[in-house]
Amino acid sequence: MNKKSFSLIEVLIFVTILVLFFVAALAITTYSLGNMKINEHKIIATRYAEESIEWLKSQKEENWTEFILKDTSSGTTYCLNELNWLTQSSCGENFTLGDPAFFKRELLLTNQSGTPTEQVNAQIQVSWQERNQAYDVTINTILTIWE
Amino acid sequence: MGIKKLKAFTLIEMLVVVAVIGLVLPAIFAIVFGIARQQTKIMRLSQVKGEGDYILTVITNNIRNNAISIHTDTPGDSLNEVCLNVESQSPIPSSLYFLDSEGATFGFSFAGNKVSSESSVVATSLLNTDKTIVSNFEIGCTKTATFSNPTVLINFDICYDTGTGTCISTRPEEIANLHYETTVKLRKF
Repeated sequence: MNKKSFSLIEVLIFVTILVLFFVAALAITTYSLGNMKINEHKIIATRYAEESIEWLKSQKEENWTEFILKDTSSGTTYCLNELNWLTQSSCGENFTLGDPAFFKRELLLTNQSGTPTEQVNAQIQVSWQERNQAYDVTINTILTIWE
Repeated sequence: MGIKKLKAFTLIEMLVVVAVIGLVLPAIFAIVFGIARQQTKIMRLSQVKGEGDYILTVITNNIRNNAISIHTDTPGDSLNEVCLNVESQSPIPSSLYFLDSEGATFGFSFAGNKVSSESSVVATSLLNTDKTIVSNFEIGCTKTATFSNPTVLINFDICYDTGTGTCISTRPEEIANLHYETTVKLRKF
């Protein structure tokens, strides 16, 4: 009896197309979900960077002569996971900033030429690891003795 | 002959189809809800950051550019003036007022989850919407030396209202919380 039905080839082609479609759709969604997660972390990282800029400004307002001593060798790196001057080195692998602890925040202070120093360049970098890749948000600012 | 061959799916065929649907549907729903959750989180976070940045910018710019003296009450006069001489007032949960060059009082105060901008010439306006809750709002001033302008210290936390009047939720994607802190020096003191 000759039953009317699909041939093996037909079924295979159909299944292949279906699988390709699903895999593509899945890849796109995973990718966009990952991107959203990165964006979320970027918002938080930007806040942390801005927070430390504000703190730096308050430090400079408080006492300029002390502030310019923070750069000891024309370019000094501080780990600013906590907002204080205690760690005069890069953070290394200490991703202890944030909740859950996930970020690290580093500051590069560079006194500009002039005696006494009237201008200090500051670079804040908040970085984190995500899916085996390093991401960062960097803010540069110039702090001067003048307002 | 005699037995009529019915045209229908067999039990096995039906089982396979149901099993496949049973596998695919949950996967699709998981992905869709994952995206929705993530979008909620980002939306709330950017809302909170937008409003927090706004509060900070308005307060900072107004104080930096307009304030000539600092007062604890409104209207500002010589009796309630603070930070005229060297002194330090730690930020306290309250309000602070300033006089501008026209003699008008303006200030910022905190009540009922909201930061408001007050002024003797224009109506009071709220700086954050009902969507967010501000807490631990503190404002204070300090003057470190006789010949330096006083600085104003501001700090607050802002978070997204989860619909209960608080920012607490059992779902992590509903929580968005940011901390703000700044120092601003009066230019026209």
